[in-house]
Amino acid sequence: MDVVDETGTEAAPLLRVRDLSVRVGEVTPVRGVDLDLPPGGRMAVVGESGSGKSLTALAIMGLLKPPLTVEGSIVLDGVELLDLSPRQLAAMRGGSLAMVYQDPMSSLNPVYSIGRQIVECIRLHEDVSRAVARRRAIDLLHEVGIADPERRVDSYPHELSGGMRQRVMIAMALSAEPKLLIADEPTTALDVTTQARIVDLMRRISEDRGTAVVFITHDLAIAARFCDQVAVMYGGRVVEFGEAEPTYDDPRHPYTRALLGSMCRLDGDVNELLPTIPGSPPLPAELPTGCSFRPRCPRAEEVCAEVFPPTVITDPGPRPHGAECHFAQEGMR
Amino acid sequence: MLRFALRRLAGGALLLVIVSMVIFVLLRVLPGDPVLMRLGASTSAGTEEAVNQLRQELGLDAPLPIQYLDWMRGVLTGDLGVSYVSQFPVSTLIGQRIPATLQLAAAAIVLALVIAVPVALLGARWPGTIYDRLTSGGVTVAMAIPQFWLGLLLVSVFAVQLDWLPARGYVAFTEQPVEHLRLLLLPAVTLGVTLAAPIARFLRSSLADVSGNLYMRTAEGKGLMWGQAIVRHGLPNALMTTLTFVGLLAGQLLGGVVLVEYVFGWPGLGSLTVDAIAGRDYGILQGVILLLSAGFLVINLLIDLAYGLLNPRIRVGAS
Repeated sequence: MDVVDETGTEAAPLLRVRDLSVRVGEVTPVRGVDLDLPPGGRMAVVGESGSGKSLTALAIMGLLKPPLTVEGSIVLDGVELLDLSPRQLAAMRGGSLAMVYQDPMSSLNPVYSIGRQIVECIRLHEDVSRAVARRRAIDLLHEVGIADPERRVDSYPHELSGGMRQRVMIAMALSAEPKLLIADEPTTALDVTTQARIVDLMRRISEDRGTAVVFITHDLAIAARFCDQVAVMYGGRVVEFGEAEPTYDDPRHPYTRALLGSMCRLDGDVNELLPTIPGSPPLPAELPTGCSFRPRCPRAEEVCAEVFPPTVITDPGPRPHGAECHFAQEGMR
Repeated sequence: MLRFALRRLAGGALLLVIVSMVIFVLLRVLPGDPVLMRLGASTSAGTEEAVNQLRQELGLDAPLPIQYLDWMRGVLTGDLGVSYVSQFPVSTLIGQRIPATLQLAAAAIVLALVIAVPVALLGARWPGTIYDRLTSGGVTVAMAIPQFWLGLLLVSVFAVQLDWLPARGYVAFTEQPVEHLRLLLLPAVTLGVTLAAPIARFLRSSLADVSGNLYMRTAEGKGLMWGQAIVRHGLPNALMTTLTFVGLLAGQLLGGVVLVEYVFGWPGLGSLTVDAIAGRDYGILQGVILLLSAGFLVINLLIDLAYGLLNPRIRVGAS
């Protein structure tokens, strides 16, 4: 399912993940994930903790180490990442492929100034002088909204707030002008107002620079604010995918419906308890037979326990919408 | 920072006073009498009169607290007394020996770091591999080896059997620089290897701690190979904790110097001390031990100050 743009010509996807699995011993926390992202696209990968979304991100970055092993195919801009040597992969990381992490408080090295850490990243990917790199680091800090960047460039991480550190991490990720930026729950550790600002910043950067973004989150509201495509992960699989609006308006997987149902709505009745999803997500070591969502699913029938659900494309469109459910054609009832 | 340093200095001074009392009492509790030792060396049998006269001359007939106060009064004015045996001022004797000891200790520390840092880094670069296990096994063996034994072993191999290096002795660097370095090599290696082992172990384990930090993932994420990330981002953080540990090892180093100098005939404080013990030369022993204790305290104070300068979190908090 290559992406076809409006003119009908086939646009090569920037990122094309096929049958990506992550194994550790007998356990497979990521089981055959497919993702497609066009250049400049913004995709939210949504799921509960333990759904395999962070592992998927780290696998794309090539940051997983033994005993974790990665199988399948990850093609970025026509290059199969899993075939690269460690050295070639290191050259991609921070270059055309960059990441912003979950925990800005401990993701910066405490003994170096932030400027030095950004300069290091710039100079790893481009042969420029220290002075030029420093100038560019200041510009990047300005771009990500850090006030007084000329002074702040010499600050140490502990002198900055969590939100500012995350901005520094974003500046660092942007320093080699990546084509793909992976953001792994970049706002989880931040307070709510800061969360919104960071999301808006990333959206602006994506639009200004044409950077494609994979935004990993458990927060559907943030995903909606930011992304044009959604992939919902459950039990190590993508169980529903599609463009953001159709997926939100007409979810085809019971899990997506449940997630949307448990969202807090401003127009809702404040006295009403929010619906929750009963049970807890499956452990990768103890997956049920058939559909992994079955034990918690309101729609489950006998077939769900016996047969692994097929991927049903409900709307082929230029960007297909589909779900991995026996009853995906039913739609919202 | 200044207040911190002053407080540490005051604490150190108090500790030195206590140390001086302990040395003073311990030496006098030890069996052996300096007066008899000295008379025994010159005449076959000292008469009681001669013994009493010498005791009075040396001030050893006064009550212990008076003797202690006399000594302390001298120490505070820079007078450490005279050697009972040679009659030279103790400060002169010590002053002559300090350079050789400092040189040996410095050579040993440098050598220890030159060995320990690469060993620890390579282990952290390939954790859990054969290499890692071999080096950590080697480190354990090196930690178990007594210094004097290693010294004798090196002499037996490199001096006696292979005849590559001189077994023991000393010439001034200014007279014969090459021979001086050749003589320095074996004692420095003896001390360096036994110091390198605990440093390598400590650094290896702090590198392991540091390796799990998220900023190490960031370092890889920006395009560094794991080996580069360990050196650039792991090592500075790991060295900071190791530095404090090296300060604590200074005590072991000073103790080792005494033995190793004696084995190799290196004319430093160590061999001075061993001779003084043999002659129950209280003046020299008190002076040397007090000086070594002060040295240990100063080294650790300097390391704490350096730690504050190296660690940006402490640096800013204190200024």
